[in-house]
Amino acid sequence: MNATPPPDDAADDLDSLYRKGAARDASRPSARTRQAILDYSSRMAARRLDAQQADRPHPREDSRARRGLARGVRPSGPRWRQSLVVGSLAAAALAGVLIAPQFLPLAPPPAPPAPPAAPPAAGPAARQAAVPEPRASGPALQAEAPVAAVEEAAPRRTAAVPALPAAPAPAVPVPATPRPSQDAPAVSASADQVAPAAGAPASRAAAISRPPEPERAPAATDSVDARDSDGRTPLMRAVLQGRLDSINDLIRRGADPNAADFAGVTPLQAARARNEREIVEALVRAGAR
Amino acid sequence: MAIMDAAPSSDHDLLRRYAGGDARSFEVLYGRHEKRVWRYLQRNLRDTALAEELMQEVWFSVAREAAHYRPSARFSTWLFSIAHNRMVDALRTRRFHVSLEALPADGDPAADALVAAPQYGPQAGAAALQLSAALIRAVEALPHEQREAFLLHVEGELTVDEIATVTACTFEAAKSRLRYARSRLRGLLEEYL
Repeated sequence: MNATPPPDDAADDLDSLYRKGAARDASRPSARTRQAILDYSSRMAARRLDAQQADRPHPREDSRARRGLARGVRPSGPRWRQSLVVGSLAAAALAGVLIAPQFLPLAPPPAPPAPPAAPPAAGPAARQAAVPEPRASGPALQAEAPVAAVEEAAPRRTAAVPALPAAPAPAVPVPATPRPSQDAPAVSASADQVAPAAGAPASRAAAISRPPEPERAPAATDSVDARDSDGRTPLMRAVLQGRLDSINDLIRRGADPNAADFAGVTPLQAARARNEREIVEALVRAGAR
Repeated sequence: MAIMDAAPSSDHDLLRRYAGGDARSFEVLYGRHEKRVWRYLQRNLRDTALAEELMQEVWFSVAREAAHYRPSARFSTWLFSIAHNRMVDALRTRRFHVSLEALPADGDPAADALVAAPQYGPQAGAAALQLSAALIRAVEALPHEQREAFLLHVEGELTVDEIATVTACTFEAAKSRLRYARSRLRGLLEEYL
């Protein structure tokens, strides 16, 4: 029965004959099977990506900073220059506080205005008075001073917050005050992430427990966010298929950009996992997190 | 849309990138091996529904285990060993219509009867009017172990040594199965060759 194996002559011919036939064979698994496999792989990739990104600064910040530059937002400049200017202003204010009292007794009653003699608590006002064009440099630097404490964790975040200079700079580095939700969604999300990081230890838990998202589009209609058996919305399916036009259309129609499927994967996570940069940006613009 | 490298990446690179969270790399990897794994399963099982099910299980395993994969062997060897194991499990647990025990061993006369069946014989190939079609039918008619060894070689491009590893047999046994398979195929296709 199991005698000596037959000679293996012409094996290559038979193999190549089979391979030629197989190359012409168009059979393949059904589209449903293929889609199930690719969906599962996307979900697994999204989970891995999430696990990795929980330990490092979010790449979204970089893209926001780039967008800020594209809109003409002035970059904050080298850090050494910021430190130099802030240090000079602080030294000038200190010198004013120390030196001005010595001249006060000598000065006649209608003493020239001595803004440097202002009490230390009025530091921002004094600095603003000393600098004729407050919006040119002073307030911007003041606004960045408290944020600098968290810049390690979120580099270049300040470049994407152009509205900050309008607010008076706090004298002590308190956590950033909640920003009005009327900001652009991208800016609001950025500010929301800054607040807990500055006020609390930069722990992973603090980064994950984000404050409530700023207001988004009103509740979408059922048809726009209708879910399939896996809990995927039309927007999620469009992301998985890489259809940017459909995504923009669904967003315009009020689709929820944060609707996670039953596995907990959001459209933004899926888009990141697929390395779909334009889709990620479109979702972020729509308020996805 | 996504920016993919112009140069084709190796299977290892794609799997590594996928393990890092790049879902597109998995799609490329899947596209490369989809048909070969599919043909391996379908021709071994001769049951499309079961082949579809196992196809999912195989690639789900790849997706799950990607982070733990170490390139100590070729990716295709790893992939087809998963497919082989899934198939064996399915045949055992689901009491597939042809049990492993009932499958003919090498040189078993029952195999001759099987391949001589009219629906698998040269007549079927002649009806298909193509030699390749006849060959595929003949492969499906091979005894299980010979068919699997042959399919691992031509679809998975596994060497005899790798076939022995995947099917958990000796090198000589794997080589013997491959030779018997070819010999039988040549016999079946005699009038075409």
